[in-house]
Amino acid sequence: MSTHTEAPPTAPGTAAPPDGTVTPRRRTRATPRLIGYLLILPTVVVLAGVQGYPLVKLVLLSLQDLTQRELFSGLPAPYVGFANYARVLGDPGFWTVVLRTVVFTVVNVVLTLVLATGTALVMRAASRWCRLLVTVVLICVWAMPQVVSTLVFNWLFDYEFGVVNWLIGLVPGVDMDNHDWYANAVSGFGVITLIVVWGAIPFVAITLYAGISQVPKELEEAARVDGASAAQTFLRVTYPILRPIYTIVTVLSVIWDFQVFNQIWVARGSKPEPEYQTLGVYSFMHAFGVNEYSLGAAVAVVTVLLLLGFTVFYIRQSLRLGEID
Amino acid sequence: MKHRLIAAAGLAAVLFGAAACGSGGGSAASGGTISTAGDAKASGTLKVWLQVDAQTGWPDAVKAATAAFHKKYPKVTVQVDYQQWNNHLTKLDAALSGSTVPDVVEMGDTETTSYLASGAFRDLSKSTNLFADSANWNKGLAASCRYEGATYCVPYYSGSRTVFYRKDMFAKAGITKPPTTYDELMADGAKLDRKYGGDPKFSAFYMPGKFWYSALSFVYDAGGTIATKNGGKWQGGLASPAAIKGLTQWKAMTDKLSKASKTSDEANPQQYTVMAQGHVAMMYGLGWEGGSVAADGNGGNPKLKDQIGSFAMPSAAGSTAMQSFAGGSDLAITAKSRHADWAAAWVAAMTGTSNERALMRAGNIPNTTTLLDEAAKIPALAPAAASAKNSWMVPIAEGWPKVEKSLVLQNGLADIASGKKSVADAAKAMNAAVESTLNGS
Repeated sequence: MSTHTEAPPTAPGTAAPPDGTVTPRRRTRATPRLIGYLLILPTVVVLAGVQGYPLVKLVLLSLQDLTQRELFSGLPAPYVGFANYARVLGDPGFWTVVLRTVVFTVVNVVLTLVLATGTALVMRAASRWCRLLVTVVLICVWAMPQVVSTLVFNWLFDYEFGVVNWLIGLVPGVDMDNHDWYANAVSGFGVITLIVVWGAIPFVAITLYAGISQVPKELEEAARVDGASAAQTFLRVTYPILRPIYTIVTVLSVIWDFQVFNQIWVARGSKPEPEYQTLGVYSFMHAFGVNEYSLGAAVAVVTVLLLLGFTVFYIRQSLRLGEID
Repeated sequence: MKHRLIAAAGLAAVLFGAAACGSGGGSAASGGTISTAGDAKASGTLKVWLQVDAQTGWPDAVKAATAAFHKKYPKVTVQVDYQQWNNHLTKLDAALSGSTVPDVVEMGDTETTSYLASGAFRDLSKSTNLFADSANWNKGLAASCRYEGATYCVPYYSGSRTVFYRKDMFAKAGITKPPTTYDELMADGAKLDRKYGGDPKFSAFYMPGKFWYSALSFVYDAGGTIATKNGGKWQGGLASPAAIKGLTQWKAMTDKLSKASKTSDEANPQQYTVMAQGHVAMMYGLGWEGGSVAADGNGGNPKLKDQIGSFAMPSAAGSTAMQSFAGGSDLAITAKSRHADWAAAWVAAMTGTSNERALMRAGNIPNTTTLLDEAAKIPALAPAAASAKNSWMVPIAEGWPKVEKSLVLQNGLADIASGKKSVADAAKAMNAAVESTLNGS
């Protein structure tokens, strides 16, 4: 700290706030800053083209009434203002879908985080070869495309020939022949949750393990010496250190699970029943299922806003908690 | 979000493309006349989208059509792409909104109306003489190609459903001949159940809960309809007493004879693959499905060769055979196609008389009534040919494809089959959804 005034700023372009004490250096700083902007320019251009332009188009589309006729003929679609939004937001079915999506997201994110934390702790405690084995398995799971893994799970839970039904049926007195897991939306979502959580654990577990392995051993040892239990050590010592990682992992998981699509779509044979529609599926069915492109776009915009609202709220909340500590 | 963004980006991109270059070519082309006289010098690529059925069922007919086409246009390359039923319309919408379009597309006969109404296909009214025996086109298919008096596509083939049964199982259960009345069918089902009931997977009659072509055959059989047009407005018929009677009979039959999943349909899993596994005595299927049960490969079971027979589904209302859904396919030429001449020549070859005979041999109902009489003389096709003459069709309404794609019928039937809703409640819900969709609200 004592070298503060002598040392030249290490990374001139970054956000390190110059407090104005070293006025003569200001002029030289303009060039590096310009270089900084130039360096991020390609990224900005690509992002604007790949993400920004479709987003603008999406918003415009949600304000139009585009039907097949305009789509095929290339005629401009009429603008209808917020009529699509009024239809979406005024439909009680939509709010059921939102509620279903929120519940689904909460269950999946909590399960993912809990199981991934467990996996990460096991990895730290395990012997070297075991850790290697777990890592390889996690990466294999991670590498599997969602559609493929969903199809595999579909076969496991198949109505006619599924191995799960056969296995459970081996228990004396249990008849699982031709048990339909998707007949009831709760058990159906159970299977879908299994598929989603199974696929989500690797990334979260490996990220958390990376964080956990950086927690200084001395801190935890000190806690243990002072008589803290394993749970207390984790909650009071390890977790607070890992909080930034948890924040990122939670936000990412929420975003992924909130818009889950592939797993539901494939599990229900591309014909999801109303009780299996989450926001992603609902929007797709409107836009491309029944060709109400503009209505689907409006649902998509509402989804983005909901997610954005949550993310901002959650990150602010986490930052505030961090300050209090 | 990724999917939607990609989709939106794609949509946006194609929209942009369409706006830039679509308006010129498309509208001008649809006015002119089509000639299939042939041109030895013309070169380029003709793009054809057929459904997978042709790939597995009658690849030789496709080859023969292309060979006949090449006699007229030797230098034109024919590129046939096979599409899946469950997503081909989404792909078609995306393609038609751009400028690089397939020239020939196969459409299910219940899918056409909204495309005819939105001007996706070329008007062929003045060119029907280019296609074989067009005066005697199958009525149901021809109706699915007509919109406001003009003809926009060419009937390709149709398929009506009959019952396929295991001859060996019938014999072992002591049934000497296939049933001809509904009561006999139910009695034979009970006999089969007594014989094979020890097998927990056994279905005397395999009937998945979302098999709407079958459930609605019961509705039409009982005198009901999906909807009828009344003074410019569509009036739903699914909540009528006749329709409810038909649905109730369907449920009773399903409950009694089938162990199929209540939440699956006839295509997922393919019902012939289930029958091939040996736990099913009867199924209600298309000609090619019956043929595929004992096929070598594609999920068939060659051990069942010579054990599969067929009979017409008996009517539950008393008359001889149950009305069958007039399913089928048409071939259309896209309005944006730059090679309408080539496309018409290829369609004419594909639907030519010799080619239609090849389709018949593959278990399909041909596209003309002239050939249908021929089909009736082929023993394996006779029940299907008979039921093709006695068939029902979905409402010819611009909104119909939306009804199909919104899955209201399948989901409503699953509610009935699983007992989640009473027949009357589910029928009422389906009826309301169909009515409001058809009336475009």
